[in-house]
Amino acid sequence: MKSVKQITFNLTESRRIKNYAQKNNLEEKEVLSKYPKVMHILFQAWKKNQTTSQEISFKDFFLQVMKFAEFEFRLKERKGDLKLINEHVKILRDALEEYEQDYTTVIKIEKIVKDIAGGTFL
Amino acid sequence: MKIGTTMFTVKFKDKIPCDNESILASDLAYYLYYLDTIPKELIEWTLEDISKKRLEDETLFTEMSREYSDLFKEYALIRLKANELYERNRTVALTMGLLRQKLIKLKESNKELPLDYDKSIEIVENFIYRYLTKKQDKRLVEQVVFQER
Repeated sequence: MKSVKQITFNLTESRRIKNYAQKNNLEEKEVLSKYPKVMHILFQAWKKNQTTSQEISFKDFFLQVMKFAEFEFRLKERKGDLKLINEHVKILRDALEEYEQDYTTVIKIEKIVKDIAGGTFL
Repeated sequence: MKIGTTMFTVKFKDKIPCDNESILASDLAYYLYYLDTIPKELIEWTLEDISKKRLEDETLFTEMSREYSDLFKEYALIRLKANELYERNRTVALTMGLLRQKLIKLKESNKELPLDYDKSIEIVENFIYRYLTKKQDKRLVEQVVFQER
C-alpha cells in the first residue's frame, strides 16, 4: 500500500480552503493546521481498530468517520435552527397576543361611544 | 505567489495509506467544514461506536426535524395572521382616528359616558402610536426568513 506524508491541494480545493478561512475569520495556516491534527487522530484510531477487531482500509475508515462528522455538523446546525425558530415563534405569539388584548380594549371603548353617544361615526 | 493561484500543501504527522493522492486531497477539501466535529476521543472508539453514535444522531435528527417542521408551520400561520392584521390596520387606522376625535368632542361637550375620557383617549392614542404609525410594534412586521429544510 502506498502512503503519503503530505498532500497538495489543487486550485479549486485551495480556493475552497481560502473561502472557508475568510468565512470563519481564520488565517489560512490555522485552517491548514486542522488537517495534520485530524489525520493524526484518524490514523491512530484506524490503527487501533486494525489491531483490535476489524480489517478496514484506511480510506473506508476515513470515509466512515467523515460521514459521521458531517452528520454531527448537520445536527448542530439543526439545533441552531430549532432554537432560532422557537425564539421567533414566541416573539410573534407574544406580539399577537398583546395586539389582540389592546385591540379588544379599544373596541370596547368604541362600542361605548357608539352605543351611548350615538352619532354618525361608523 | 499571485492571488488566486495559491496551492496549499499540508504535511501529515504519519504516513497515511493512500492509493490516490488527488482523491484524498479532494475528500479532505470536501470535508473541511466538518473537521471540527471530529472529537479527540475518536482514538478510543471502535467502528461499532461510530456506527452507534451515528444511529443515535440520526434518531435525534429525525425527532428534531419533526419538531422543526411543526414549529415552521406554526410560524408560517402566525406570520400570515400578522400580515392580515397589517392589512386590516388600514381600516382600523381610520376607525381609531375617528374614535379619538369623537372622544375629544364628547369630552368637550361634557356628555357623561361610562368611561374615563382622558384614559380612553390615551388608550386609543397609544394604540394608534403602537400599531398604526411608523413606530409600530416591529415584532409584527419584521420578517425572519426560515428555510424549510
